[in-house]
Amino acid sequence: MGQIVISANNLTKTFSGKEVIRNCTFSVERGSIYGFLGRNGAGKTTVLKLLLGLLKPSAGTASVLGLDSVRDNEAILRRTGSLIETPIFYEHLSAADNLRLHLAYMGIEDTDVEPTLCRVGLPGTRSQPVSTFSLGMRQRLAIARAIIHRPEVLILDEPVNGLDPVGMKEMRILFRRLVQEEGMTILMSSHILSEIEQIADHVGVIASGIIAREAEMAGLCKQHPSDLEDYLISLIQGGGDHA
Amino acid sequence: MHKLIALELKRNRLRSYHIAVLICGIAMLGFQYLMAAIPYMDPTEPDAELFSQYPFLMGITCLVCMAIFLILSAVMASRFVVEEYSGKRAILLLSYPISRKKVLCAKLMLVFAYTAGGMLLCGAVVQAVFFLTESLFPICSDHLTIKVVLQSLGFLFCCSVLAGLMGVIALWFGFRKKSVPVTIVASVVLATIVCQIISSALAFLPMMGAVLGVTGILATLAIKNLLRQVNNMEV
Repeated sequence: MGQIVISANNLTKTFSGKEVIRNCTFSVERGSIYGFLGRNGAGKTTVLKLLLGLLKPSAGTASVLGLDSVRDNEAILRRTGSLIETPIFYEHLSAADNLRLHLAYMGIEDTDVEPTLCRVGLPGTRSQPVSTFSLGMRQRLAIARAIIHRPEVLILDEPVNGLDPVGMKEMRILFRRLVQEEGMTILMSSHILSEIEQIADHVGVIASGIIAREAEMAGLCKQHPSDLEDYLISLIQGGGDHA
Repeated sequence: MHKLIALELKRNRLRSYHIAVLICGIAMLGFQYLMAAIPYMDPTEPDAELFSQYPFLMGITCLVCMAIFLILSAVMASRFVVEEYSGKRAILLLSYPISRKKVLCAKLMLVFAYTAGGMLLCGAVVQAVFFLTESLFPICSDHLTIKVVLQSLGFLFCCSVLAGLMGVIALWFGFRKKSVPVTIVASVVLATIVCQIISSALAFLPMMGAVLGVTGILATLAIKNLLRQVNNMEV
């Protein structure tokens, strides 16, 4: 088993007395892609926010790169790239200025943004105002912002939302390269089964705030060669572990 | 801190605020001459004598200017702070690996400095123009002396600081509800109260000192509370 870089231990989050996340425990190994699967409203985004310290757990602990998500929040954010919910940009600024601004906040200067823009499929858009970008372009730019400071960990919430099939494939290839060539660890959430099937090494299924199943994707494919989709759907719907 | 303020300036456009300050300056100058002309326009007015005295004229203009700049400060604080910490925009802001307190302090310093500095500069230019024309073609019957000019500048300075401090207090009200309208309404209410208090004793320096002191304490408490709110914020 490889080094654990992301871990949640009995993580619980309560909003107005209602438990949204309940005793959530999982871990992600270095250099792997962990797919977090669940229906809309299952609690995927909440878990990702808890890991990044944007939310404070009601109980349990979360750590990234061995750092506590509450106590060492700034250190985690420095070493992590993230994309949470709908990407927000400074609309009047160009794509390059948005990335430069992000780098400045990250404490990095004099980095050429063009290679990163090319990497996410946005060549020649550096001086274009973000207000003119389509949904897909904004998603690509958000991924560029998450990776431009070369983080060790990427935490991505529905990263392929708004992308066309070509864009989805390009991002899959990019994520694989980031893991293989730069040793990044990726935790990504999605409600698109095929996306997680194609890219993840490990999968965690969350239903109603509880981790219903955690498994290696290769093993799951072996166990369910013909009905993997149905099996995952049953888990997502809170059907429990049938493996 | 300097770098954070520079980054705030980079991602927020100040052009519209510069235009607002310019318009305020022109309006103030017009208001100043209008007030000075009251004894000529209506000599039967019982308070006409007051409007021919420089300390009263400058005081009234400064108070009106303070109210305008306080509202400008509230608008700016709404854009720089309330909107930035509301909704999904807050996720972006809180995802930077920088102390949340430092980021908010940079925003508050920028809003305070722009409000107080803008009003001071604007008021000083208006006073300079008015006193220059008064020395050449006097409208007021009062004597223009260095003491009058220095007193006016002192009053302007106090009002400028007050506008900045009250902007922070108005922001505190707006931030609690994460609401731009609440921030602006709070600034209007504050301007009404403080202008009433100061105008009741325009030439009474201890009154200005007391108002400054109380406003300073309230603004400090508001800043401390805002910092705590941002530090414990969950998005």
